[in-house]
Amino acid sequence: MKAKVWLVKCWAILACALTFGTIFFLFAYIFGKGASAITWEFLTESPKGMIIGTEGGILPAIVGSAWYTGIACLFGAVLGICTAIYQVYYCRSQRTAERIALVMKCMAGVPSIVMGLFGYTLLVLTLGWGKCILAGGITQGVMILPFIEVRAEKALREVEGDLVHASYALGVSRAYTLRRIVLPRCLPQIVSGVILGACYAMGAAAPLIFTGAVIISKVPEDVMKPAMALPYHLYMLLTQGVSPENAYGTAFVMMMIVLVTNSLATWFTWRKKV
Amino acid sequence: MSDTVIKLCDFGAAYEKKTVLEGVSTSIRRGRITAIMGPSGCGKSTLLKAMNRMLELQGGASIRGSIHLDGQDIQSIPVDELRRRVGMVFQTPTPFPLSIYKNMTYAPLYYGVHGKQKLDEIVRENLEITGLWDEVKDELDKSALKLSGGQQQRLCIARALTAEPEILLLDEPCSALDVKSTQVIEQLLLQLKERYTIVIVTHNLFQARRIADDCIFMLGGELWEQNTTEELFSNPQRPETKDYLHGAYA
Amino acid sequence: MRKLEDRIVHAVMGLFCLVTVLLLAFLIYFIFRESLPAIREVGLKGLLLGNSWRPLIYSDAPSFGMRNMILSTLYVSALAVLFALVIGVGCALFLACCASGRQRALVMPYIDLLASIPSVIYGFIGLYIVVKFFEKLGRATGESVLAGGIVLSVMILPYMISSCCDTMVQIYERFRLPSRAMGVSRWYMASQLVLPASTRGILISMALATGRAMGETMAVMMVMGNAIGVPKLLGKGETISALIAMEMGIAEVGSTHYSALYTAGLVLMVMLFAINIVFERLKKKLAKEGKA
Repeated sequence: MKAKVWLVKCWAILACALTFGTIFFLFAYIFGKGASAITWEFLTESPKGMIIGTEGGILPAIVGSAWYTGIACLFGAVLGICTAIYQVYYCRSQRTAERIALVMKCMAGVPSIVMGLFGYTLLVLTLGWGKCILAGGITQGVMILPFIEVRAEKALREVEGDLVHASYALGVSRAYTLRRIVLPRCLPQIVSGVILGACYAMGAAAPLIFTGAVIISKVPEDVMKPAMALPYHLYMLLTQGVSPENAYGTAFVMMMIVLVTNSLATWFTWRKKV
Repeated sequence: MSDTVIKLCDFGAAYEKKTVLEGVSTSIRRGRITAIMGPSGCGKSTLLKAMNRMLELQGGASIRGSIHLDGQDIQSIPVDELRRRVGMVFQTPTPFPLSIYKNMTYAPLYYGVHGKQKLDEIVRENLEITGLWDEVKDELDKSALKLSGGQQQRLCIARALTAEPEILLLDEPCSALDVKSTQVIEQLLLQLKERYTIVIVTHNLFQARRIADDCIFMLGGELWEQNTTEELFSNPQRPETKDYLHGAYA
Repeated sequence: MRKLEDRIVHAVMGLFCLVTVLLLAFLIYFIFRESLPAIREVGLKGLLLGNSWRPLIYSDAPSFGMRNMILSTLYVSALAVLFALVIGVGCALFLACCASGRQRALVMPYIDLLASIPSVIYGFIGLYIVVKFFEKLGRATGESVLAGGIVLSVMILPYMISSCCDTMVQIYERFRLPSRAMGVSRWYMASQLVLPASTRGILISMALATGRAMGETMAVMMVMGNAIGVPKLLGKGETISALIAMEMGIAEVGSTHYSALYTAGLVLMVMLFAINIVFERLKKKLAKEGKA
């Protein structure tokens, strides 16, 4: 018995050390190798070279990713937050609420590549938009919709029932209660959910492969045209295996975005607790 | 063997800066049931938790004075040995989410008992003492969470006994139970006092009267009055005790 | 005025909610519609059990059997969940039983950080570290199902840890006092009480992680080599999602190839669904036995 307890203890400690070691290693590796690739030109120029991407920078990819992510966020946040509000505050029957939750669970379980297929057949082909920023952004939006909804729903449910009932008891409407009591209390959490959703969309290449991302383009100006995206660009650099230097640089930029968005999201939720 | 098992000398306790117990000196006698009663917030639970040093697990608790177990200061006894000798049962039943059998072997295995036969024996013996054996003997592998509230509490008492304690502390063990289960537990405690010294915190005056040999009345963190149950109920010395017994603080 | 406001808000929220629900319906409809031609032409049996995938041979009849891809997907996901289980449960146990609430709140964001790293970056690091490592060990090519399993396990680790940790913290907090009252040590409680009592929680986290693993595209595509053959532990393999990502670009719209790729997507969704049902069943069964 002593031996077993000792083994479990060692296992737990080792597993924990390994986990945090891995986290540290991932960031240290990318930041360590990528830092030297980051120059002003890298961030502000277009990809160049005999084989695209071996020289030059990644500006179109950065701007493209910003566009995709922005559209995804707008689409996902509006639908996600409204669905959450309806589910928690407006829908009268428990069963409807449960069904909405089930829909969200199913949607969250759809693999990102299948989201890509959906966007391809509906937006690119059936609606005839062709590969473009809007199609890619909306596809990603559908992908992050359940992600945002689940977090928003959790935040809404955490608002104390007493407060809400006290507000209703004053004869005030639901919309007014939402606006004055509920939303101010859970806004930080909802915002942090949207920020994390943005980070998720920024890093996802799979939904963009058929709906918007291209190997090379100019800095995008029109949402109905295709554009480069950071994750897809990194994928191209790696599979062609021509420029590890620029690949490290691109990964550095993406990891930086991950770090910043996550810190922001954590800060938002922590601020509320304090 | 002396008559006194636990002796408190000018014992006091505080959470953060707030004093909850002050100047408590008393002794608990062997082989008897001692009831600690008093209005809520009087420090009776704190007093109980101090006896097996569970108080330390609460952040910010500090103590003064001393408690002796068989003449030995409990601060000088290794804490796990102390807790083995002084078992505890909580207000709400706390069966572990394991099978009944595993609940019962949890402590023995820790204390180095092994061998299926030995363990079976411990399980059976202690379940029999608590009268649970006949009810569960065919389904020892069933989850303990499936038992009724009263059965769960008896299982917790049986589980506490598997550590072979000398003293059993019970913190309002019947407050979450119905009348019938309460009766069963009270009967059980009366049987147990032959083998174990029992200290029970209760807010139920009738319960104290039914089962306790000695009574301690606490008020405002102080030991207000102590006597044999009969004496205390029939002839309270201080007016506050009398008021309490007449339901003034309820 | 206020009444009107409430009505408008109600209507708008309801409308958006309806749109969301319809989106899922559309999604299922479109994937199904696009995969119908292939199912009609090749037959479900041929698609699922056929072991040859040769979509572009014109002289011969093309074949669309995705058995190997299905096996690859299952293989690499199972490996990943196995690895993540060993590391994740241990780590969660440590965090639940050893760290205070404050310490956990401090550390958890770092674990969540792991979940936010884009999958291409995992593929990148997998390619440069894991695959290179296998090549150093003397294998001709490091791209393998095992490499995919390792990379994938790191990706699903955060889901595993946070989900397991939640259950374990609940159990630990609830039974801390009764267990300490028996004089039992922290690690004895962890191994004899917390671990066995969180079976259900661990199962739920496994379901979550399996779903993640099976749907993952970019990272596995980059480290598994994408060879259409029977997957072997140290050999290459191609998962369903990688198949779709690799070939959609070359498939002619409306062709059987195109439709077969949609069927692949459909199969992937059905597999995820089936696995969720299996786990749900297990969960219910355990609930009946009264496990937490």
